[in-house]
Amino acid sequence: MNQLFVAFITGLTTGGLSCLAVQGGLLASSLEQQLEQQLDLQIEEEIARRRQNRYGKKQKQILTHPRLALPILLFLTAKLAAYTLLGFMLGALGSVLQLNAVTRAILLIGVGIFMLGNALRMLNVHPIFRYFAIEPPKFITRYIRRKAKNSESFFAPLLLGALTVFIPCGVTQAMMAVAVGTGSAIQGAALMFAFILGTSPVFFAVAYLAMKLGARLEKWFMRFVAVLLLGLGLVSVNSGLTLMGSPLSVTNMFQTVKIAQTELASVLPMPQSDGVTLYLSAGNSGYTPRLLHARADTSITLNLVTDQTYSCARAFVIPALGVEKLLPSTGTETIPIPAQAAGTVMHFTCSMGMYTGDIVFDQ
Amino acid sequence: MVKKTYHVEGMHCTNCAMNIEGIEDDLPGIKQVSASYQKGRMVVEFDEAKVSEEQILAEVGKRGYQAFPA
Repeated sequence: MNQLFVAFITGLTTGGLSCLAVQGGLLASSLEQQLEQQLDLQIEEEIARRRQNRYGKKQKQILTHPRLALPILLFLTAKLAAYTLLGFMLGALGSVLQLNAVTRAILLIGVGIFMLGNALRMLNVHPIFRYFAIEPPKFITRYIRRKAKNSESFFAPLLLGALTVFIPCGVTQAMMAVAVGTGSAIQGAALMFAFILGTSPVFFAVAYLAMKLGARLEKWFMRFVAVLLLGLGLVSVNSGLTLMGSPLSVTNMFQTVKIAQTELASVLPMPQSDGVTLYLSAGNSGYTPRLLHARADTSITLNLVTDQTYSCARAFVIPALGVEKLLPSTGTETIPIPAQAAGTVMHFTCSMGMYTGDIVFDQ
Repeated sequence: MVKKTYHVEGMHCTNCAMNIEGIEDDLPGIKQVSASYQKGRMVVEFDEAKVSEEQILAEVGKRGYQAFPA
């Protein structure tokens, strides 16, 4: 019971914001369809009003308010259901379902391209981008239309909400690892349910306030959503590239330029790195120092120190070595690193490509 | 029964395609409408004895789109 409460509070605090950063694009995509449909309704009402005015009939002013709460709730409900199911499977099947860094990187890049394509579609850049819109099968649209006539389209938010299960943020991944550790399908499901339920208020509040404001601005807001999607898409692609250790990612390019700069002070009291035994703090706001110097042509030991760490920094990845470690929330994890040639710059990152750093072999 | 293809202008999301397909529920004589937002067109299968092409295009127009023979 205590574990469920902790999971809920973690979701309510760090989880909500962290997940919104990663999955906000999908929510924006589902709401964007809702806004577009609302725009269609308003056009239809305007046509009807003009037609009636032509015949001299008085027409009451129709004020339409986008029913934004419903798609957001559908999105969150589908997400809750999908993650509860995932928790059930993780609890039952153990670590079999865990995704490795490369798979997650490919997923992140894929999702990023999906967002970029949708943003360009909304900005009417070229008709080719229409292929980025998820077109549900005809038998489903026919079923939805006939069963739910005059109601909102709920397919997109439901589908996209469920799809978030494939792009968990770092905090969610940490929680997924805990779900595996429960070793019970029911406990795993309950844990993920409590955690995702905790993230929901932040998701709902941010999305609803943003959309309510936007509904008044209609077309301008569509462009705003498109630009937002562009930004999120770029961030997602960049995170995927970082996770793969690609030198093309903005994060890695920026760090390579910064390498000559001085190291940041460590936040945790740790022994001094001596070039052979390195110490790296994995805290709630990333890794310190972000730049470590190591002796070339010698095997070194990297000690990762955590102290009440709950951020995605716990999921530590060195892409070049294929190293992937889930660190304890408090403790030290040791990773042996084979000898590297002088001048080698080894990137390390969290599993979502959000927190990064480098080890330079130069001494 | 004939099957005709039309270009449709004014669609800006997949919901628009669903909206256009709704004419098969409202106009007797239409067997099936398959609209695609991606291709910007619709395929209508209808009975010319019960409904005319003009009626179909007018119904699409009522929904805020412009359709014309491909």
